[in-house]
Amino acid sequence: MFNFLKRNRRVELNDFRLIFDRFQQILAGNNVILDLISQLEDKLSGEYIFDINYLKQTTNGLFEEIERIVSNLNLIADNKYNALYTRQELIRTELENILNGKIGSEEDRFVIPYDEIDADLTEIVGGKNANLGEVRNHLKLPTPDGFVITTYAYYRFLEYNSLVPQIRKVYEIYENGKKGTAKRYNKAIDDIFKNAKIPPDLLKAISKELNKFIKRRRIKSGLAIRSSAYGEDEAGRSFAGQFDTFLNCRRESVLRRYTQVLASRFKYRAAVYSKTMMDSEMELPMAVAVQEMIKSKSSGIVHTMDPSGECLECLAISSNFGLGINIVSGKVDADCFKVSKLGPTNIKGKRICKKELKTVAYLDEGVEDVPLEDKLRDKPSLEDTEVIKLAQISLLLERYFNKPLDIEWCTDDKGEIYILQCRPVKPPEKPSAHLSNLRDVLAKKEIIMNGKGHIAQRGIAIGKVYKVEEGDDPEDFPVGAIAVAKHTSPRLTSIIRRASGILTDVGSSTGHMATVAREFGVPMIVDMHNATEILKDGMEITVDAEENVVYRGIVKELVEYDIEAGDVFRDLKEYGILRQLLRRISPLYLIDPKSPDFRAENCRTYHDLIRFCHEKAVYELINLNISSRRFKGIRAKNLDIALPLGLSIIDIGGGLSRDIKQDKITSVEDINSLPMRAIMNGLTSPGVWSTEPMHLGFGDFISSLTRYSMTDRAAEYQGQNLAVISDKYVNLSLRLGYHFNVIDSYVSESINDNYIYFRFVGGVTETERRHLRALLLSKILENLHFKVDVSGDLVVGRLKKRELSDILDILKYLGKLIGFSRQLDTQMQNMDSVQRYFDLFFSDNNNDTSK
Amino acid sequence: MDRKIELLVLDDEEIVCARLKPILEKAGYSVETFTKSLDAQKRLEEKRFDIVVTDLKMADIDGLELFRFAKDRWPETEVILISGFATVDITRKALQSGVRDIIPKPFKIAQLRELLDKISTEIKDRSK
Repeated sequence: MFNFLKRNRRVELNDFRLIFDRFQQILAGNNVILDLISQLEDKLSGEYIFDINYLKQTTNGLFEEIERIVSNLNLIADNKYNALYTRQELIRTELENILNGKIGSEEDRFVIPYDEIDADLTEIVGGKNANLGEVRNHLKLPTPDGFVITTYAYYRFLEYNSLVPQIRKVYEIYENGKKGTAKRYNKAIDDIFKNAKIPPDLLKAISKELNKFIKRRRIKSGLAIRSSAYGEDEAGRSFAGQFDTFLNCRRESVLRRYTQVLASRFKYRAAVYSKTMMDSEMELPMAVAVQEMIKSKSSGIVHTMDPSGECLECLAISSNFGLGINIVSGKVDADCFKVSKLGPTNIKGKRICKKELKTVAYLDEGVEDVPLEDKLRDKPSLEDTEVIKLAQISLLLERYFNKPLDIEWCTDDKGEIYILQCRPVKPPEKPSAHLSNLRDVLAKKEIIMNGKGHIAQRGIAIGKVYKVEEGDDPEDFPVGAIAVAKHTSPRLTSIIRRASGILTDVGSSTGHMATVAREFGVPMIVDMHNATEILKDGMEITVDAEENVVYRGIVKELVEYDIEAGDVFRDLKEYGILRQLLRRISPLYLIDPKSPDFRAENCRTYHDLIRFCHEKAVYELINLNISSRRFKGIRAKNLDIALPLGLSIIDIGGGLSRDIKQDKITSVEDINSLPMRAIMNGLTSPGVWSTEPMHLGFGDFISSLTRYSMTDRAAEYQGQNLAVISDKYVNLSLRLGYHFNVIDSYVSESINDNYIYFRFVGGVTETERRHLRALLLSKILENLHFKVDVSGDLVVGRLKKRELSDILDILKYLGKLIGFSRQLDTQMQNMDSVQRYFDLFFSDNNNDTSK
Repeated sequence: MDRKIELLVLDDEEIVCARLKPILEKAGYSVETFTKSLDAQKRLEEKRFDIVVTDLKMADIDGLELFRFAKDRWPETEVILISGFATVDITRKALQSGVRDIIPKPFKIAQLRELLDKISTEIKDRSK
């Protein structure tokens, strides 16, 4: 009888060990995935050479790990979370589509509203629309509302009407000179399109979207129908003005105008531009935008690279009252402004011309040129403040798209600036001669700093030095200047949009600031030691964030090199793929496990999946006794002491006193596990997690943290915590606030078996502060003789082969460290805090521990 | 003015050539890039390069074959292999047979630059 019981207990324990093993695999997988994500993010900086095989291999690694985690969780949880299999497959398919150059679920959409458009959809909305979508949805700048009829619709239209053979026939006749003039050729094309019908499915899709749009904006007319062919703005091509655009259309004309824009793709002007275009309808497929027209007070063009070539560090604005169509075509005279790009954005010159005409929208449909009111003829069409604001927006766009741009813009009657179109300038046919000996040219320039620091974002920047400190108002930062700061900081992130380059004395290339600099394409070098000493406010400099060099003055040759022959990695296909992959891998949307939305079905990214699996794995382990009969011998017991740890303990042998009858552990004395007891002794030391603050030193510090936590939602405990223990073993997983801490340790009399593994990683709070906290933790751990690895905000400490008494002492410190570190990220502001808190931790430990 | 060190870069992935060309030209090298190993071999037949940087795994002729070809034709030419698939075994064999170094992909630009700068200095010292 007794033997039978014993055998049964062993089976239960073995079962549990299997479960626990799977649980540990989930934790390990979680770590592997976080590492892979951070490696991928690193590649965006431009500092690495990688190819598509790397992206495929890494993504495959992610697939395998995620699959393992999801199946391990379901094994623990009796398949309760099988919805995860579907989520995992869906994301996997999306990632595979991206890797294979397919757009996936968007590929077969006829119409897409601007709110859903960005560069990912270039292939089906065309380059100009994709750019406009980036401006609207990622830079959050005003653009006209509307939607795009996609290239997929274009193919459908051609196919439904069997147009390709008809067009080819007309073209061949024309090309063979049998049918005379361009006019007759165009007429023949027009006839083909006039007779064509919009396919019913396409008609339905356009009408539905048009109705939605018109209802949303409450308009019936004043629509602009614009071409946006896929590939028209590629390097070496310039199809500007080759395809039709119709302004001020009524809703009834939309379909007719749409057909006319499609027809313009095959007309004479386009045909003489490119013969290959006529050979294949696949070349330059046409997407068409339907936009609300902005009632323009004035409008015009910005060339972010002065087209006259007179002023390298200037951008040029042309502007007139009314609509801008005639400025674009060069029909009317326009006011010209030249604005310095170096920061501050000063107006360097202006020419206000006598303006006779302005273009306006007819009340009914179409546009016309009318005489300009007398009083306005000699007036500037833009106020100086508007000129500067427009220049600042243009600089942001130029950096974001990483190349010189032509930008069509307008202002409305409230002075709001709208971006109507933005496209890259065609690069010059022949690169300048001096590019072949750039190195010799550069050798003659005065170098202020050389070889210092780490590149966080590659690129070339010019501007005036402007030193920034954390407390500065971002609005004071002159747009286009080079920000020079003592250290990277989350508080400085808001100046990134305004800066043309960033240099810091101290800082990390994996922090939040670097991530944002990458997003906006702002060249950045960190850790330069003494940039703030060497560089003076107002100094004009050129930053070469490719070679870690800062030159005095504007190095024209380097800027030209950057435009003409530079390392344009951000434009390369693989970078686009990487950016798209990361959008589906790295954001964390599932944040709060208590929210009803914290469900398997809502996992949108791989980060969501691992977050969800981890949270549920802990939950399932804690609740094993409820969910399964297999483990009736093993129950999780709640630690019910003054500390608000939310900790459940599973004892796999000799870890708890046999006297505990309830499911609660009410005293640390009931814990027999040596390592767990040591940690708890540390955690419960006076002042470490006290709600009754001590009056001096460490206690004061902790109490201030405790008070802080009451108002800081991010620091609240968000889930359940778990310890698995035996008499000699502990595995403690804690999620406190948003950070996640694992301590795994085995202790015995045999020195060779003893070890401590410590792992700490942040959650969703700002990366910069988490990185500082990581530096502090690593300093503390090293002081405790750990071997430490830090990567971003992840800290891993390993220690082994030490005497039992040493190990227990160190575990006690770790207990204190848990209390100490739980909210540090909200406190850590800069590098000085690292040393200050390090001293604080040990000084106080020396005072109040019986070491 | 120093003579420019001449590089041949071969990788069937266009992105590698597209990035290395401007980066290395800016650093003062003269660079010719190829995405097809047969074309690179043809060029090597007619012209001596100081340094060849080549991918290991490619269709037609792989990096090791190209290395042997280059060395037969121009014994002084240094060869660097770059590869996402280099095993310890391959690396050992390659180094034993005279490949200057193997850099695993993905790699930091600075890593390749450092190696190239070191070899260039040696080449320039030798020719003094």
